[in-house]
Amino acid sequence: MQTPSFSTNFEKSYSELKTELWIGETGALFLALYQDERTPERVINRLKADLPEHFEFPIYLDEYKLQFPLFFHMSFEPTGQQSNIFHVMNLPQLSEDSLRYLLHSLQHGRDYLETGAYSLVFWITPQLEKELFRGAPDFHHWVSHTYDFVELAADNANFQSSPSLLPLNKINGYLEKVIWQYEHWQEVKESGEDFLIEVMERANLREYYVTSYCKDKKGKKHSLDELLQEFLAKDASHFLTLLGDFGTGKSSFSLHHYIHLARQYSEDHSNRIPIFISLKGYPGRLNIEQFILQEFYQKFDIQLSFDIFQNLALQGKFVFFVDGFDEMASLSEQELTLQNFKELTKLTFENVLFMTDPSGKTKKANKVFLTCRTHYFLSAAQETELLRADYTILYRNYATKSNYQIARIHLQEFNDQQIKQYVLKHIQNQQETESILGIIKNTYNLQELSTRPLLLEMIVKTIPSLKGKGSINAASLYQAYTGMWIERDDWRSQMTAEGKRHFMWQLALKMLNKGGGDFSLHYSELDKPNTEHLKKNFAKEEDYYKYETTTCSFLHRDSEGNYKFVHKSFMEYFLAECFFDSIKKKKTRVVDYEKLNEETKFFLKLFVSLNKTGLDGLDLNSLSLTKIDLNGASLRGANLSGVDLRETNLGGVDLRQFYLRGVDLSEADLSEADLSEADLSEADLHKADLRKADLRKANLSGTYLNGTYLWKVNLHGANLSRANLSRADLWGTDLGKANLSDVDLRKTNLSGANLSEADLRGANLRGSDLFGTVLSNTLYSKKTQFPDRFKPAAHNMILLPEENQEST
Amino acid sequence: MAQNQTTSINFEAFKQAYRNFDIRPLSGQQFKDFYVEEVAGEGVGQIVNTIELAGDSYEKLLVIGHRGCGKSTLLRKVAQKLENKYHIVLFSAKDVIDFEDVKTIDLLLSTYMQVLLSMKDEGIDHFLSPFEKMLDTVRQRLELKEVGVRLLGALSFKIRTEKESRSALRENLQTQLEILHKNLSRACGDIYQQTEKEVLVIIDDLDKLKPDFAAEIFFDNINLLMMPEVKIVYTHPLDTYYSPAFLYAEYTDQFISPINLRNKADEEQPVSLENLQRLVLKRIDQELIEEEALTTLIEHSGGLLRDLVKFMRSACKKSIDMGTPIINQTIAEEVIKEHANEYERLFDFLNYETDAREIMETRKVKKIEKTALTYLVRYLFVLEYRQQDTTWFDVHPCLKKVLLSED
Repeated sequence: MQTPSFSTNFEKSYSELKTELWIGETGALFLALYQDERTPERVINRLKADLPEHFEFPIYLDEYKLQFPLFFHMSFEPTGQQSNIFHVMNLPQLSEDSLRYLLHSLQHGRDYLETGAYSLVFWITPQLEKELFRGAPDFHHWVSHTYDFVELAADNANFQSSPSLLPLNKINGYLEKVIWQYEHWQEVKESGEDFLIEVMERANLREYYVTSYCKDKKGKKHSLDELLQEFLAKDASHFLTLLGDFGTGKSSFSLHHYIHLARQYSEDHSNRIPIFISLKGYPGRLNIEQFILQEFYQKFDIQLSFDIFQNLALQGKFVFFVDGFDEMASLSEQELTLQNFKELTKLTFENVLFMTDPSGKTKKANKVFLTCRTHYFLSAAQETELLRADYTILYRNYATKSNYQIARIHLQEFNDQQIKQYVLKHIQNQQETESILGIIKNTYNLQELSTRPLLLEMIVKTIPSLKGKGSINAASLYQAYTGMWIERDDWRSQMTAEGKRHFMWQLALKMLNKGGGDFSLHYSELDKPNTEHLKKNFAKEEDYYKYETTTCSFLHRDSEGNYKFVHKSFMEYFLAECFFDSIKKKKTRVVDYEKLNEETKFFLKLFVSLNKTGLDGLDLNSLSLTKIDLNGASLRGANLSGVDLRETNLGGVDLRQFYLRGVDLSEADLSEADLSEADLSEADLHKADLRKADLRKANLSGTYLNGTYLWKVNLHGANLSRANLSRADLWGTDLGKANLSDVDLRKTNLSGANLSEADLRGANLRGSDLFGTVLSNTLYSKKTQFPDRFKPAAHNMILLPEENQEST
Repeated sequence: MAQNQTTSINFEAFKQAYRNFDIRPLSGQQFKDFYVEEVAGEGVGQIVNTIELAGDSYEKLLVIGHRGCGKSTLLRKVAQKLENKYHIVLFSAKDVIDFEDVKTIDLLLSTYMQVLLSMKDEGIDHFLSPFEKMLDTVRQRLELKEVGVRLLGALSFKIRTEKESRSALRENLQTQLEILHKNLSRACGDIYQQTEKEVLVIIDDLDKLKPDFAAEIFFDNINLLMMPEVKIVYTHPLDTYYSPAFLYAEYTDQFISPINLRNKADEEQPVSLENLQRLVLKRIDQELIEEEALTTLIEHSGGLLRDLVKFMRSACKKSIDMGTPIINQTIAEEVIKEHANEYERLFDFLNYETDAREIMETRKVKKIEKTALTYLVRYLFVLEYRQQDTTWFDVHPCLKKVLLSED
């Protein structure tokens, strides 16, 4: 039996601590003394019940968390707005060394703790209080108050907070409906009813889904379903990212597996609750608390308080499928993207769990599965940099030790087997399938395009128009696919094909210019159609396009009149088409090139390639035209300044007198191109193929031609001053009358080349091969460096005195 | 909950008062609202005078005082007073160095960077080129890709948190000490040219340095510290202040005494009491505290401002918790009792009781060994007071209470 005074002291401490936590602002530090091991937990449980507006977290310190202040400061970011109180436990269990280290870290790290959005209660024994006072006086001095719970409480502390239950029936109802829609896709589509999950509308996955595979870091292939199951079952990691380019089937897989889990959950409620989140168009900074509460309200009609959600989340109740991260509004700002990404990682609640739980203990955290276009992650190295750029080495080391990592997998493109399976599912006819596969195989590029499910779907649908075409690229495939609707002259249709195309362009442009990342547009924001684009019997409606688009498979109009492309790539395609059309016909740019994203730029260069015979006079300034086929293109009068032409095929192109100063032509194919009198000064021609190119009188000063093959190239009269030609192969090349002053010609093969009357003043020819080189009347100066034992006079070369160099 | 039973007390007023008694140094609006000239004015005046009297020479002043005696607030006031005449660069050492691993060179480089940062809004670019040049060779090693102001931020972060980076920097700068000095001096000169104000650097929180580090910085490398052609106010730890090395170092120093509630002859000083009453009543309504209780709390603070603030905070909380409409003598005594209990739990009676009693008797430390004195002073068991040219020591009133109760 305890004496009443014991209990009174305990109660007094408890009451005052509770009051102080209640009235105080965040950032306060407290000490709580205890002797009985059960005390901290009892007090925490009572606080949970007495201070419902606060969230109490126990933190179990161990030797991996010794740099506590810095570490806590760096890694804990509050989720939600509630007041957090952290109870730091386990201190008396630390070894002597660890304790000493911890005290140091507290002594000098108190500022990190003080400014945090939480209060901290350090649970210590009286003995430890002495050590803390001696070892960390500065920290001790900043403690707001020391509460004494050494005396035992009367056994009245058996409080348990009882979190309110989530109204599961609403979640069940929702999931059942989603599953029903998935299974009755055609029916929902035809009735015009909205799908609960927007991406579901894209395709009938129940009918046509083909198993997806992915590659891990080592290149090993796995079935995605199996991998995801493994991810969900294991406690090792809680955040998984699936990367893939557009149209590779990321969303389809997500949805497919989500339905699988929804079914599992419906059968057994002890499974995690799957939640499908679309971030498409989410503007600005993501606030996970608000977002989740809103999602629960909109999806399930559940008004949830964040601490209930957090309670469930800390038990690992959910698995989130996050779709459309790359379609968020903030993507143009890297900083914000990173912030939003970090905010998403909080859905696992691992940032809380890895602080609160003892290291090494398996955690049952939420799981988050995120899909994203590959290039937002660029490379593994960059991603790591992005995620941890503002953390210290210390934290990075810790992060690697812990499970706080983000695993990444790459979606595997379709292989022949999957392509076959897909086509067969669509066509339902073995013979026809074989015929389609035959066309795919025999059309240049089509096989490559068919590895992306989205494009494969288009291929299957447009196959008649693709038959017999020599070459197909992604842009021509989109053209053929969208063309089916645009060009179709339905008697019910009220707009001309031209009108429909302009409508698409207008939509794409307005969506882009509207910004905010919400790639949807209400009809009231559209311009009235041009009368030329309307057929005579056009019935006037409020929304001119409403009827027109009911038959369009790539554009969706919801019941409120908002237009949205079913896949973002259609918007990107139309933007590129519109951009190209305007530079071609109107000689203007409808939008600043730099505002276009990677995919749009990609489509645009395919348009340039498709139209290579009609590029005369176009302003292509600063465009990226890398790696495309412009062989034999007609470019007279086109503006190519600042264009990126790396690895571009420009074979045989007439580029006479072109201004190509500073242009990147590295690894470009310029064989047989006519570059006579062109200005290529400062251009990068590294590893460019210049075989049989005509470079007479071209200005190549300062160019980088290191190691380039220039066999028999005509460089007569060209200006190569200051160029780098070291190790280049100039066998048999005509360099007569060329300006080679100050050129780096070290270890260059000049055998059989014609250098008569060329200017070699200041050039460096050390180690070069001059066997059989014609050097008659070639100019040189004292500064010119020749190979060992080479005697210029013996070759009829003319030495110009240094002082005369400038004047001559 | 107690709060619900106490509707008769002015809960909001107590809660606000509780928050007003924030133990951190005053800043922002609180600085404007709660600063009391009568309390800090003398110390501020002395520091201002020392700086002013130094004229054209590049004075290096050390400010010393007990933990919680109000140094930081006082330095902010000094900065405010001099800001029309000087270009003030005030920063806390804890924001720029790692207290677990610090060398003089870190401090110098950080000072230079803070001087540069102070020109952030007034066209920093031309100030940055010598800085960037100086770091040219080491940048790659530190993986610093940032430029301009961001470079300063990134580098500062590395100095503070990354041991490897610190070592690399020190190694690199060791051979460029002249350049570092010249650059720092030149930056200050350039600022003078541009703003027509002389630069005054004030570095707070250096008193938190461990004795070894403090000795390394302030004694072993005194030359480095004195060299920059700029006026600098350093804070300095009390531990090393009592070391003999300090006497030889020939620094100008300014000791900030706790408020003298009694003089050397142990006579009450009503003016001091009044001033501290004023300090308290700026933060809490007079109606909420009985005068006797206030006097008790002030007297037991020993004139240490942070202790007084802590006492008041505790008293406000107790009033709310107990539902008393006013802080009365019972509450005040309970607050004092709790602090005395803490002293009782934490004081090393075995080793230092005799010394503490000696000081309590004589108010002198002549017979006290240096290690004992360091212990007593470091943990605020004993306080050093000054009044004009007189110096004396006394045991903290809370400990005194414990010692007297044992008699």
